[in-house]
Amino acid sequence: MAKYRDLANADVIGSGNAEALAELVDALLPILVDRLAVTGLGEIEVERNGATVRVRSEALGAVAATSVNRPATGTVHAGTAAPASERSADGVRRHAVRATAVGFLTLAKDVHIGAKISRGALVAQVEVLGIPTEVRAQHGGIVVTLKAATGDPVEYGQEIFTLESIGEVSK
Amino acid sequence: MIKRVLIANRGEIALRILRACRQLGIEAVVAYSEADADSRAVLVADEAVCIGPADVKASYLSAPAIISAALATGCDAIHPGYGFLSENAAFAEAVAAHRLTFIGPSAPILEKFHSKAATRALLAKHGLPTIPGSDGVVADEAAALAAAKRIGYPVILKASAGGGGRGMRVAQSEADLSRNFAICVQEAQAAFGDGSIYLEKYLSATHHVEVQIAVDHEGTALHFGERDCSLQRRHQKLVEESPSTALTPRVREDFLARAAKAIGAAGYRNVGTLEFLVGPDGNPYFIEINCRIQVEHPVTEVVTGVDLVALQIALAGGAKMPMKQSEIQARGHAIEFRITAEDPAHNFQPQAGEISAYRSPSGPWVRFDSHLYAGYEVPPYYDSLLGKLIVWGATRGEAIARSRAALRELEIDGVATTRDFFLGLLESPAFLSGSVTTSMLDEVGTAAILATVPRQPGALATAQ
Repeated sequence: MAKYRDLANADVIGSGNAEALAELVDALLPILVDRLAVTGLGEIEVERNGATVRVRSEALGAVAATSVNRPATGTVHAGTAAPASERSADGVRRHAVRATAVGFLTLAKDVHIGAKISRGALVAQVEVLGIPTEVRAQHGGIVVTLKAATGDPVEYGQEIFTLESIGEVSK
Repeated sequence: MIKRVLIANRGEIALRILRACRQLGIEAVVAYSEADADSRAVLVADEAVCIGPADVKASYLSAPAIISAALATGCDAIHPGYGFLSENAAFAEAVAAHRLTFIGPSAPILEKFHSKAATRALLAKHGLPTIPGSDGVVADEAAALAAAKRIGYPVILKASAGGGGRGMRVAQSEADLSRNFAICVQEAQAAFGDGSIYLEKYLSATHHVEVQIAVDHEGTALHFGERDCSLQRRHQKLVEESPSTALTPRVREDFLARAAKAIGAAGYRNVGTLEFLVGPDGNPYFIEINCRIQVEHPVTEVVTGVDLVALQIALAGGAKMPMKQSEIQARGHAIEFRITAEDPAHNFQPQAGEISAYRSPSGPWVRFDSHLYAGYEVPPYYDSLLGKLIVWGATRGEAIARSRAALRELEIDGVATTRDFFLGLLESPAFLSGSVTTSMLDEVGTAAILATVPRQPGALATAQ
């Protein structure tokens, strides 16, 4: 199963005092890490008293990135049909950044979990027979899940990573 | 030799190639466009890779996308199927440059046989009778008029780089030729990127017969009998059968043997088809070559028992011809019907939409090569072939009777199809007597054929 780093991998967003936040994190983190391992989810987020604790597995992200090569189930294509953006109940918008061609991926240097990406930024390249095809972010946001890594083979439309924007635009 | 094949095509042929790969114990990856994400080949495949959007230029016609997909998925060979890039020498060359095996003739061979005019001359040199025509490509209208005068009207103008029944125009007179020449050049330029035109004597109301051939790396060339593809609409084949009803046994044996000998000697490799028209003297005259596996290959498979796609893959992998000519014995009679999403009642207008209900025919000696399933959405971007019904009988009559039963069993709801047209055709005296010619549809008319579609299942028993 996935391995986890400690707090370095948990985002803490909120306006409460630092002590209250630390308490919340201490109380929730072991539970969340366990749950992450049991469910196989890539990420779990909990909101309490105006603060949000989010725990994410990087290892799982790497598993998802191998979709082109997996001994497939015939569902490799499923990703291409997914919507570009979806919005959760708490107003967080998620945007999939997708490969613009079939080939080998090179992520931009500044793309890592937690990185802030501005709209239109060059975030990756897909090399098609030695010729790079640009992947640009259609939305601004924070990188929350990496689903492919540099050197990975990717298919057209495959999700490379997920961006989240909070309260960016309300519509 | 070949371990893992990228299938760079769609529809029924992608499925056909996938089946051949599995049978041979070769891994296969189906390349597909976004519009084909729910196609049956993708659903059935162990692995599939999306190569681009629906637009064929960015997917099935994109050499970089296809080769990149092959490399990304670890394939060592690419099967191009038919159409798309299957006869594209530049593509075959790029495939080879990336150390992948192109399943088909190599780039130099595709290049050599690319020009229809040059191929005609080459095969004539190797002993194939050809239809009187211009001496290669005609330079301009004046040269075309001069050639036509020598050949005699009517003539047919053909794009040297053309194929698939496109890029052809018939001229009945000098005025007709003058009017059509520039248009034909333009169309050829637009469709094939090459405006070269050549002329042939136009034979109307004739039989179109073709020879399936296969050649290994050492030049051992075999033929697998002929197919009669006379029933056409606007140069598009609708029905194919084997053997042809137009050839006497002696003519048949002679032209098949000559075709195999000529194509081997001319340097062709892998599988291919030589197309002929039957002249007024009852002899077939060579018109053109198809450097690929063809839509109608199952007709030959059914009468000879040879899996042509498997043979094609083996030959591309460097295998020696695994059989002798004497071992290929055609048996009985086979007919193929191309079931397309076209509305025969409305000028064969192509259809798209969801297949709301689907029931495929089956039973003894009935084969239905199709990518359909209930709920499948026929995309509007590609050709309209839905499936090929191939039926075998010990005699032509038995094959026809069995075809009627199979067509009645076939149910496709949601889009208009050519099924009923074929049920009508199987009541038509011209078809039943085996005297279908290339101009039959023009003479009889689609409406007349549709009018004879039996309304009730019981009516079929008394027909003929």
